[in-house]
Amino acid sequence: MHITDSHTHVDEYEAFGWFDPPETIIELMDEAGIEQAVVMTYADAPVLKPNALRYLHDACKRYPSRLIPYVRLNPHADNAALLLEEAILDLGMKGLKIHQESVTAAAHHGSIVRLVKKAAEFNAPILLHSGDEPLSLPQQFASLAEEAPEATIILAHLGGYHHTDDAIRVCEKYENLLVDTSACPYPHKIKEAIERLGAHRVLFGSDGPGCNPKLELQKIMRLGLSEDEQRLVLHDNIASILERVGHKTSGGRSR
Amino acid sequence: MIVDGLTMVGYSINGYGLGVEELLVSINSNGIDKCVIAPVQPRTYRLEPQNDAVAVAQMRYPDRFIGFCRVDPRQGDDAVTELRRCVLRQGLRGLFLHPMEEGYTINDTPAVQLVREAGSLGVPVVVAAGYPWVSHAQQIRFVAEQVEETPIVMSHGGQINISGLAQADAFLAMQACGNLCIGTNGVYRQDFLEECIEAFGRERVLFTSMSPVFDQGFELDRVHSIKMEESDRQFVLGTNVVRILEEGARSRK
Repeated sequence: MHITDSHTHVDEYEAFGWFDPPETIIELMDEAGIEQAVVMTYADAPVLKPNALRYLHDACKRYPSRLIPYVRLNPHADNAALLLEEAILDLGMKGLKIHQESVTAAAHHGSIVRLVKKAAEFNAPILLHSGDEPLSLPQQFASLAEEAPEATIILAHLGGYHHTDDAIRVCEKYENLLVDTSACPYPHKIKEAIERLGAHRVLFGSDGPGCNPKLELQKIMRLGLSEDEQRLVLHDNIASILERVGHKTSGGRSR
Repeated sequence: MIVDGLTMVGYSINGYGLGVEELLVSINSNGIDKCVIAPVQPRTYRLEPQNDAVAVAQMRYPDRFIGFCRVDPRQGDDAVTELRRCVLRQGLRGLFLHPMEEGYTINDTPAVQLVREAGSLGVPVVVAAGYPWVSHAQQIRFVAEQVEETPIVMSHGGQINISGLAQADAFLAMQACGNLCIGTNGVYRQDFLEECIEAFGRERVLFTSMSPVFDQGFELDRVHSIKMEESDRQFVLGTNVVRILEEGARSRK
């Protein structure tokens, strides 16, 4: 079975103390039997890492059949929309990542809503952090889901340690919200998400290299899913999302 | 030998539960030799009967279970009395504190006194750690610095944050206090465990599942996924828990 990890990282970022060049995730993917992975930096362009787009592009060029880039942006930056366009239209990136704690804005903040809607113009998925932190709470996604119903929005980590129920609840209410399984420490909650939301709305992700992709995959294998469910979670869901990216739905370039 | 350094038995007011027989099935199926058992917070709010049930389970299965008591520091002198009763009369071998569920702060004076009493009784303390406001790693550091004679294990690697934002605090607490260890349950990023083992040695990281809140089998997988020497892994899997308990027992003699 082809396996695509929908949430991993490449970056070498001094301030966080995390040094993970592309070779690190490739080695772990090989160890786990994962063919492809969505990758993003740890630091946001352009504020924390001005050269993030170039770094990510170069990293993925070294493993074009293995790594699929998402641009990680700070939506408050004046040129955030332009950078998003550059990432998708010029550099062939496939999605947008926003980490609300890193950019100090909750999912319903105007700057995030605007950038999410911009990404949706390209049918690009948006991966947002979700968890227990004050700017990442799953119920904060409700307003965003309402304001951008055309966007495909993925809640990373299934709500973290203490907001998994909230993550499932908000996804039940809004069809355009999905979840990924990365670092979620509760296999039974992933199973519950699949039962309540459907396997078509749950994506396998590891948050590697820090979180071991092999362990994260073992977690999915523990769930006793049917072959069809496994195929959806481990590959088909993210593959069908990524297939649609780049077909601009409206408007022109911002510049 | 594989020893799980933290599980909870009974049926919790917080909606989870695990019976003693169920736990036996789980440890047998996961190849775990022994485990620490501690009470849950029951619907009755009364921990004493739960401590007695743990003592009964330990007596019934002495080769499989190591009983810890659970007390609420807000009960002041009564909490100290209960700790002493559990250790000296019921034969329980450690203290489990859950500040989040009981609703107190780990570095408030009554909790510190209780941890100090545990040390004087020669038993280790496991803290449900990493909860912001009540058992953050730097709050536990405050306790550990005052009560250097008591071994303290922080569950969750001392940090509950799925961005990794609390790891630096847990790391600094470990760096400052030699009497602190971390348990492995639910730890975000296995490389944090690897960094702690590299920095502080194989003796200060130990396998805890905190079942049934966490899945015991998956938490064992987590330990096996740590990139480390196999000879060191045995320390994490079981040797460290046994050593901490034996050191306490020696100090009691």
